Amino acid sequence: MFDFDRLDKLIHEKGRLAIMTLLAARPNWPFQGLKAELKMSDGNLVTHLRALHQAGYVAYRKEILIRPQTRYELTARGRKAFQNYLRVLEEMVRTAKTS
Amino acid sequence: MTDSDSASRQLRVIRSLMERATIYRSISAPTALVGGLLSLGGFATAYYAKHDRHHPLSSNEFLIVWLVILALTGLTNLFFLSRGAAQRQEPFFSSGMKCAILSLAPAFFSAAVLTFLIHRPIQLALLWITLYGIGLLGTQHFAPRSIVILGLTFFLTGCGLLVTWKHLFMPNPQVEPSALVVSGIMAATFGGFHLAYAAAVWALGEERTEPVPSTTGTENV
Repeated sequence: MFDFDRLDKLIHEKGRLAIMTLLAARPNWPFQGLKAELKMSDGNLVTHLRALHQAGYVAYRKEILIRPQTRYELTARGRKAFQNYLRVLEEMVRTAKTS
Repeated sequence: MTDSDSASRQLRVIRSLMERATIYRSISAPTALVGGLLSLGGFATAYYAKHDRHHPLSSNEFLIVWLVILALTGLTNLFFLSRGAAQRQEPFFSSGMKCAILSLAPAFFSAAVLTFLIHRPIQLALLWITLYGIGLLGTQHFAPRSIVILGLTFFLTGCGLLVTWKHLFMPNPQVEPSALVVSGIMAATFGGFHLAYAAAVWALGEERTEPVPSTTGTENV
């Protein structure tokens, strides 16, 4: 029997999983880039990013290039949590195939 | 839907998102610098042949000079791509590399076939420029913006020259543009455009914002 408690519930939510995935694929993303890629509203994206930041999974920095922007990146803790989440999902699939 | 189905679906979503977000640079900035300088060297060779040797490059010599430049640039690119892959702790034939090869192959293969069929340097040069642009544009779904702009520049320049070359370089229809003129076009495009690309990538720090190994334990990845 598979222990579902091993799945990180914070990451398991659809929107946050998409954010974590994009952040794992590149070193960092500007807020507008994440918004365009995920087609989320500002409020929705901010809420998810705040939850991930509070968990210590995501870090951000503000910078001014042509105009001010905020860039988001995975922290080491966030990357580890994401990798662990993937491992658990893969294990779920493997367990189902062998049973 | 079973939990296993749900897990499989999640994994597929993750994979598709990661593939969409992954950037692969098929031409590194150092390669562009080397290729650009070698192209200028190609023009210098044609200039030397005409003015010092007093015997302009023949069609065959033109072909050899530019194939050597292509080979040297290709080897340089392999070196820098393999070094980049090692730094990112990725296999050399990563999924990005495979996508790049598949995307570039049709245009590059066409260019190779045409090289055997066409013997007029001016036509060859313009087809190389256009097909190179098409090849780079083929990678646009995972290439950084600078590569797309480079591809578009080659493509538009090639198309523009294919339409206008007779008026620009053959005022007398009986006289073919010399190897020096054609080498000048090659140097301006493969030389100039690549040098501009390398400068832009370094100036904008584009390579520094591209993927880093997924297993690094540093805080700011």
